[in-house]
Amino acid sequence: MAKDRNLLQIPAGMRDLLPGDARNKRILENKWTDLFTTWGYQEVITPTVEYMDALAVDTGEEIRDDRMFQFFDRQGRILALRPEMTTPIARVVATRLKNSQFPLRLHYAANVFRYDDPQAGRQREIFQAGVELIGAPGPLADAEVIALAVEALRQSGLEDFQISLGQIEVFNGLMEELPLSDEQKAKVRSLVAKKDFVSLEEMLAKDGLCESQAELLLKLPTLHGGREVLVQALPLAVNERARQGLNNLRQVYDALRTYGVEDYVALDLGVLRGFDYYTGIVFEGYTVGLGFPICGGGRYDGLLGQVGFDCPATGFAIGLDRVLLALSRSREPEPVPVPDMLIGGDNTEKIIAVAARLRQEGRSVEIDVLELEEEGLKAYAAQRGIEEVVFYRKSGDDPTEG
Amino acid sequence: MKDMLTIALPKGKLFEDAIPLLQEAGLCTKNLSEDSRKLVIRHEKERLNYIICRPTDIPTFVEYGAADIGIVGKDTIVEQDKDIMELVDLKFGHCRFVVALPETAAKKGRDLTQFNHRRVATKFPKVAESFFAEKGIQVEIIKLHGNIELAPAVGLADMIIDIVSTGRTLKENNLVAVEDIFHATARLIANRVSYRLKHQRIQPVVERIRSLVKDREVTY
Repeated sequence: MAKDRNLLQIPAGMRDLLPGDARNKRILENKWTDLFTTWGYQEVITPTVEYMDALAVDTGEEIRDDRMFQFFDRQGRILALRPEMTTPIARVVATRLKNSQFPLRLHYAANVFRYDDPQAGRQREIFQAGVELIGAPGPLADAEVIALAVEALRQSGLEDFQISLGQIEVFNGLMEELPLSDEQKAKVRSLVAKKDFVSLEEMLAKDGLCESQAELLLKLPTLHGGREVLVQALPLAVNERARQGLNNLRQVYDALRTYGVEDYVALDLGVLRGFDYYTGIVFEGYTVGLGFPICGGGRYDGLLGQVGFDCPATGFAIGLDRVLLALSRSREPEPVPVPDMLIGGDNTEKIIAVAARLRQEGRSVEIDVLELEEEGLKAYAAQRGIEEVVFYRKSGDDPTEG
Repeated sequence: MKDMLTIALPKGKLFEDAIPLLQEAGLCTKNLSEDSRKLVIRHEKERLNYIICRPTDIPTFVEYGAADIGIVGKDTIVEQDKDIMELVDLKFGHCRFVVALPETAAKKGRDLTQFNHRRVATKFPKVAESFFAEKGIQVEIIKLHGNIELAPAVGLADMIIDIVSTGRTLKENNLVAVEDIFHATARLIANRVSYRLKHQRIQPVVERIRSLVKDREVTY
């Protein structure tokens, strides 16, 4: 009996990847895995389902528990689908890898889940690839992961992309100097996170900040460009914290020039995300024609401490789906992949032997299992777009090639 | 593509105020007219496109990056919760969000706490929800798409939350504004990726518009 059609639908925000898309995803994933491996990163795989408590850490994406898929196990404990990979990896490091030699270089390619309203670039199941470099506090570590992110995007085939690089401590240093209550500061952070600069300006004017202080804060998102930004940002170095932040930004940027990737990197002090999570460098990647970031990352020295293993760390995640979306926009749709060769006929022994040999040589070979006659086989191959057809008869005749 | 700037403009009352501002800011505004049936206006030489669409759709065009920047009322922004950058208060298109009661009810006493579990009709359920949540009043919100003032007259709702500019519509329908929720004006918004990738194109426009409206008073 046919099933009710509704039961055959899939939940909102989920997708089936058909052969063409699935292949593109796999190719990209493999390319990145190879790349990360050549940079000395090792893959880890963590479970899709974890205890809610282990996942409920505020991360750069501001994922709160109401944005997770949650359910109960039979003991009544709350489980959730992982909404990102950094927290599970922090847990693995803090519990199972803490006796390793640091720094640790780990990478992953995994699906993560978010209970968002499906909208601009937000599916509920998301494919991400990324790296975490754990146990190194200096600017060279940050520069390494950013250079690696650039390389990963470059190898994906994206032509026009940019990494915007900021430093959250510059903002945090500025905030320290503002004569605002904790509540007001929380409000400032939430307005900055929402990018509502109009309300921010109104609030700063109303709360009686002297104009120069308010101006410094409002100037942040306009500081954007190359090395000159470091000079333009000098007035923001109002205290030691902000000064060190700027200094660190300069060091990372200089290292990125040594990597030769500065053409892909813009300095941008307006990149402000995950205030409770990032502790230094923050960055986002963008590409022309896509209205939302394709990757993001930064330094998160506080996270491992939250799981009982105080340790500096930096890393990034790339949205595989988003990169694929951007690529599909700039490329002609690829034809559905077909095998190199189709072999048919009634000489089954021969067919299987030949197929095995060719496959070992790396060719993709399909064997006809419909027992088609020669004409039918050719017609079928033509329809599929398979270029090479071989037909083996039992009688020992020479094979006919099409 | 990086040098092409696309601006989304809303049909309706904000349109007329937006054009002279863009012109003053030095942008080509030739052929921009609401009456023309054209929805996309291209200025190839200036590397500038305009999209003309419904005000409620502006944040969507901008969020997806189909438009780089746009002009839209704060009233539209608050209801949609889109991921966009809000850059400049343009000071025109003023309106206020109010709670309004039928005159007869208003005369008896204006305390909204007496309206627990009553029905409120509105085009802005999110605004309504957060307003009443803050007040600690539980209400049933009825989402309508237009002519909100009709709802109390026919017994669909006990009160309404709506935007008001002159207050005439309320008066004509025997409604009285009993509480201001907030004031809204037109805003210059930007896509967060465009703002970074097309910074060299967008930042000067933003700066010019900001300095043009800086000393303007909101026109009520």
